[in-house]
Amino acid sequence: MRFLFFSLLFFFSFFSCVSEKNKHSWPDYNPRFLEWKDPKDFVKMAIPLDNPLTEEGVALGKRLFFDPILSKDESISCASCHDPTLAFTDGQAKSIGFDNQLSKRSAMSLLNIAYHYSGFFWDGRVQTLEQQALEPVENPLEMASDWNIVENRLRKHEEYPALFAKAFNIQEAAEITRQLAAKALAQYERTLISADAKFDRVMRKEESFTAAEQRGWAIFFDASEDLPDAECAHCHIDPLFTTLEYLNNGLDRVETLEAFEDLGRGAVLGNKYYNGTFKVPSLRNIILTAPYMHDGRFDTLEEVIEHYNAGGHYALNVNPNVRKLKLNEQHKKDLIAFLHTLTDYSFLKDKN
Amino acid sequence: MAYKNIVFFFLLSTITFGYIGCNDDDDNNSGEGSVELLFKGKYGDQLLTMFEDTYAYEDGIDLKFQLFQFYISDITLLKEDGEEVLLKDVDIVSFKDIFNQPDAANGVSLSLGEWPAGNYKGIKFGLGVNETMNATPPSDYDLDHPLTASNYWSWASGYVFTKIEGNADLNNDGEFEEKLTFHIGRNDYYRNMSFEQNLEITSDETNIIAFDVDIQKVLTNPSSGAYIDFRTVTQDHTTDPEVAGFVADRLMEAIQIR
Repeated sequence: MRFLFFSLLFFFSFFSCVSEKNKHSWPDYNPRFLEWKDPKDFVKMAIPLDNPLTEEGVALGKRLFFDPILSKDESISCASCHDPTLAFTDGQAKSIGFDNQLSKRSAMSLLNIAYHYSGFFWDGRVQTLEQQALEPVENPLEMASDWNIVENRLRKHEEYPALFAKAFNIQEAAEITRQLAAKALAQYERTLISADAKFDRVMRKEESFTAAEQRGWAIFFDASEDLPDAECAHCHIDPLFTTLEYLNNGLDRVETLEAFEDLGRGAVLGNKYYNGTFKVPSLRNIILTAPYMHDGRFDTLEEVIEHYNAGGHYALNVNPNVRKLKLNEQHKKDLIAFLHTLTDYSFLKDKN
Repeated sequence: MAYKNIVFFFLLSTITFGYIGCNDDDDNNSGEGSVELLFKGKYGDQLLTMFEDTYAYEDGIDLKFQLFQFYISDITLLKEDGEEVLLKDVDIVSFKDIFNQPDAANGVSLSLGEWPAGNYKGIKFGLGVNETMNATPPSDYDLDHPLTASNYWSWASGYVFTKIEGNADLNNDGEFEEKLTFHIGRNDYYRNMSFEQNLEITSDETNIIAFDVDIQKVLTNPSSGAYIDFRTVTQDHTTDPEVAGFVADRLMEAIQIR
C-alpha cells in the first residue's frame, strides 16, 4: 500500500513537472528592432540608448497600458484616463482615479508625447517617459497602487513573464521590475504619433483647406494683413502645435505670484516667477480633448477663444502674447474651422 | 661596469626623450584655449532682470521685462594676418532665466569650445540667423540646437532673430497691464557686427570675451531722441518696417565689447 502511494506520488509529480515545464517554456530573446522614422518636419525623437524600440517592447507596453493590473484594485488602467478615441485624454475636467477620486489636473493627450523634451506632466516634474510611467501607479489620486504589489502580480501572471522575456531578455519571472514595466510603457508611448491630420495633408499638398479653414489658418498664424492676429502660434507652433514652454496664459487674476491656487511649474522649480505656469498643451486633435486647460475649466473651444479674445486676467507673469484680440464672430468660427483640421483620425481605432 | 653604463645611458635616454615627448604632447594640447562669450544684460546703468526689477522708461512709463533674446551667427575671431577663425555658426543669447541681481551680474555665457591660442585683432558676428540657416527648418537640427521651433515662423520660413517681451505700467498704478511683444526676424533685418579689440587667447585657460547689452538702447535712441512709444505701439511681428528696422539697428548700438 505504501509502495502504491509513493508510486502514484512519483507518477503525478513527474507529469506535473513535465506539464509545468511545457506550460512555462521560456521564450527565446529575438527582439525585432523598429527603425524609427520621424514624421515630416518633426525634430528627431530622442530614444534612450538603453531602451530601443522593439516590436516586443512596444507590444508589452501596449498590453500594460490597457491592463488594469497596475491599479490598486485592478479597476483602472492607463487607458482609463488616456482613451485613444479621445486623443488619449478622458473627457473629464480632472481625471477620475481610484475610488472615484478626482486627480489634481486634467489628463494630457499622449499623442506625440515622445517629442516633449521639456519634461512631462503639466508641470514638467520628470524628464523622461520612463520616469513618467512610474508615477501614476503610486499616485494616491490615480491608480493608488504599490509597485511592489504590481511587480508580484506581473511575476505570477500567466502571460507577462514570457512577454517580459521576449522584450527584455529576463531569465525568470522574478526579474520583472517596475523599471522594465516603465520601459515597455515608454516604448509604446513613443509610438503614439499624430501627424496625419488634414493640416498635415494640406502642408504636404495632398489636400486643400476650405475657405473658412484658410481664413482660420491665417488668423492662427498671423499670416494675413487683412485678418486679425489671434496670437496662437507664439505658443502653439507647428508641427507639435506647442512650444513645450511653461507659461501663464492668464486664467486667474492674482495680486501676488504666491496667490495661485495651483503653483504648477513654480512648485517644481521653486521659482515664484514660474508660479501659475503650465506646459503649453498641443492643439493637435483639440476637438477631441475637451474640456480645456490644466484644470478643465472650459468646456468648449468657443469659451477658450473668448478667454483669449478678452486678453486673459492680470498677473505679473501672464505671457504678454496673451492680449486683447479683435476677433469677431466670423473670425472665431474660421479659427475653429482651422482647429478642426488638426484632428487625426488614424489613431482612433487603436483600441486594445 | 660596461653593463652599468649601458643601463645608465638607457635610463637617461628614456627620461630625456620621455620628457621631451611629454613636452611635445603638452605643446600639442596647450596650443588651444577655451573661448566663452559673456553677455551682461543692462538697462542703462542697471542690471537687467526678468520680472524682478522695474525700469524707468520715457514719458514716465515703468517697464518690466519677461524675455530678451537674440540670435548671433557666424561668430568669428579675426587674426592679425586677416585670417578668420569661425567659432560657431549660430547661438542664442537669452536673458530669459535671469531673475535676480546676482545672476544678472554673472551674465549669460556661451561656451564656444577650444581654439588656437594667440593674439587676435577682433571678433565679429551677425545679429540674427544668417540667410542660409534662416532657410532651414528646426527639424534639420538636434533637440539641443539653438534653432528651435519655439523661435521659428513655419509659415514665413524663418527664425525670430530678436524677441523682447515685457509689460508697461502706463499710468503708474503699480500694475503692469500693458503687454509688449516685439519679434523681429526676416533676412532684411540681419545685421553684421565687428569689434576691433586685441583679444589674447591663452592656452589651457578659459578666455572670456565680455559684452554689455543695454536693452534701453534697443528701445531708445538717445542721439536722435527717438524711441518706441509704448502708449501707441505695443507689439511688432516684423510687420512695421520702421519698428523692425529700429530694433534691428538699435541692437547693434546696444552691444558693446568690454
